[in-house]
Amino acid sequence: MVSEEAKPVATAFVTGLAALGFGAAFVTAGSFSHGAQIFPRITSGIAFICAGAIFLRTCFLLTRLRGSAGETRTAAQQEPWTDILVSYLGPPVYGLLFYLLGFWVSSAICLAGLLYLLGERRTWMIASLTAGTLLLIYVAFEYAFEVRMPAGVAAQFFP
Amino acid sequence: MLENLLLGLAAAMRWDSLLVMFVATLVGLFLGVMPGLGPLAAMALLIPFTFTMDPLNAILGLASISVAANCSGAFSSILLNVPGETASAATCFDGHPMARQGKAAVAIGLSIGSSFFAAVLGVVMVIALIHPLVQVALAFGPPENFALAAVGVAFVASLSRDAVLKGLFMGAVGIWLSTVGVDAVNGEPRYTLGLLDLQDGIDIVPVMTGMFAITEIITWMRERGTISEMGKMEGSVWQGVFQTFRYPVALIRSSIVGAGVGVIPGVGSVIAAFLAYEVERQFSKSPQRFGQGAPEGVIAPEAANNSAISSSFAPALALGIPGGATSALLLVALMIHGIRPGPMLFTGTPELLFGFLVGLIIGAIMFTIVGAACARPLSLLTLVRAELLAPVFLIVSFAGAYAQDQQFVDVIATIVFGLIGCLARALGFPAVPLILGLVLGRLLETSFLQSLAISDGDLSIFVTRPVSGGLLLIAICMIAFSMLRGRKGARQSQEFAEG
Repeated sequence: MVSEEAKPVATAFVTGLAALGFGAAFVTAGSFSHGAQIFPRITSGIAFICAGAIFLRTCFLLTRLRGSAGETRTAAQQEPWTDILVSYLGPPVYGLLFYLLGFWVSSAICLAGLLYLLGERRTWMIASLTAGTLLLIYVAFEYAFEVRMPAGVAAQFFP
Repeated sequence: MLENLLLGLAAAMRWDSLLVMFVATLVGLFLGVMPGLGPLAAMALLIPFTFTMDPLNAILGLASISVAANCSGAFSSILLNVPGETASAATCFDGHPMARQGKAAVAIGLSIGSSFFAAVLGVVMVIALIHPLVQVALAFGPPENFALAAVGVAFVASLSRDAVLKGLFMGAVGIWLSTVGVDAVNGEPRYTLGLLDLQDGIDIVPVMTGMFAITEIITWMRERGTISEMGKMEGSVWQGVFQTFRYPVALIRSSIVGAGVGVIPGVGSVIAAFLAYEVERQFSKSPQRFGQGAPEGVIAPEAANNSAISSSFAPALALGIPGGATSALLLVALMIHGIRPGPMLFTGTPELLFGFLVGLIIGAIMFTIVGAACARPLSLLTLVRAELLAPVFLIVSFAGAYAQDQQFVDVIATIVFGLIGCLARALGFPAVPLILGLVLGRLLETSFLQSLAISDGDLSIFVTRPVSGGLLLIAICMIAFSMLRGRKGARQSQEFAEG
């Protein structure tokens, strides 16, 4: 069930945090030398004011929403929680494996894994997409640009 | 002048020159489409190969790869909603909605047609008006550069009419992010938290890759289906190319805006696309179509971007002042091959110079043909299931983000900004002002401090100089106007709901 208030509540929370953050950035800028602090103070000040204004406006909107006799709307179709997990956790998990196992191993695992988790069941499709993508990246980056993709932290434990 | 043009044309029409330009166009097209790469990467790739080439072929190759990489940045904007470079972000506004309506091929055709026209017009303007264009570039000092950059950020913020305050907030965040790292003027580390990786500041590539590519990939994984909501494609690329010329006023006006703004070093080519988009929306009889797949919404930014690139060569060639990183690289390559920027430009090596300028035109023609041929297969991506596209592009995006500086911190930044991009999209905060703020932030600060140095700390320099004062006034009026229209629209919606 998704209520009408969810988005404004989230907006208020995020902008409230942002206002605090940019307030801290404004104060921190005071420790820089004179020439170095002007611009950070101006920009963090503008960001603080904008975040504060959005926060206040959203709080006002929430007050009106709660004061009115509005009905709580429900989402037409609830998204499977697995889809949400895979979508949002996919990139960070890939990043972690990227660091530990290096680009090639982590990419092969994540590419095949994500294809499977997102519903692809044809083995030939998973294999060909994985191999084709990695080949393309090898040709473009390692061969053409001579960019060496990282081997990962785990590589130091293997000869 | 005509004699030199014909000399350049004759030199460029040899079979070996045409072959070099064809290969360079293909490479530029491929690299321009890949997220995280773009014109700079394409140029950097080709330059070492040019050392052993005939000087004219080297110059023609560089011209072709530059044109192709710039023009093809629109392809990923239209197909994937992921801009190939900052200026292509404006093409996302209407290009991607067209792709979702099944008109990806037509949208790409519009971008190809307007890129071709604008590139040719830009070169013609450089040849015919190089001295007046240079005078415009020289008229812009630090206060004017600051005002124009501020106008650019304000324009983009005001594009989101119902969320102008959110747009301003994101622009301020982007500019603030540009202050992270070692201060360019004083050499003092700011907001680095003691981390060595943050000393160089926050790079634009991982931020763009995160906020556009990763955000889009996560959205694909959640929504599934295909990019084309129609499940099929309508129209053809050539239909889009010819349709471009049914909007002659938008085409010419955007090209002139781009050429005029693009000549300003450092600022112009980034802002030109957004400025032209907003100008067309203001002049349109039905501005509500913009953002929903209006053809002018694709024509304007692409025409402005490409004419800006061409016109940025005017100060680069006449004064040796590059317009940006790409033209700086091109300038170095041209100097290696014997073109010396400056007063003797037109008399020293005219066959090389005019060969380069003619090469830009031939490069534009070649891109039109090659791009149109490649566009149809590329546009079929809109019919591929998101479950197949998302993992592939996730890997390619991470590779592109890492390849920039070969540091893992860029991968972390990509993930972080990807999640921030998802949050921003969910809450209605536009991403483009943040990107533009980050790109222009250093220039804004440098211009601002230089202006204060000129005026001994007197802030009135920004309003007493007519050009900067006028630009700042335009920015304030634009924001105020957008906020008023946004509030009026919200009040009308409320009255409709109550009534």
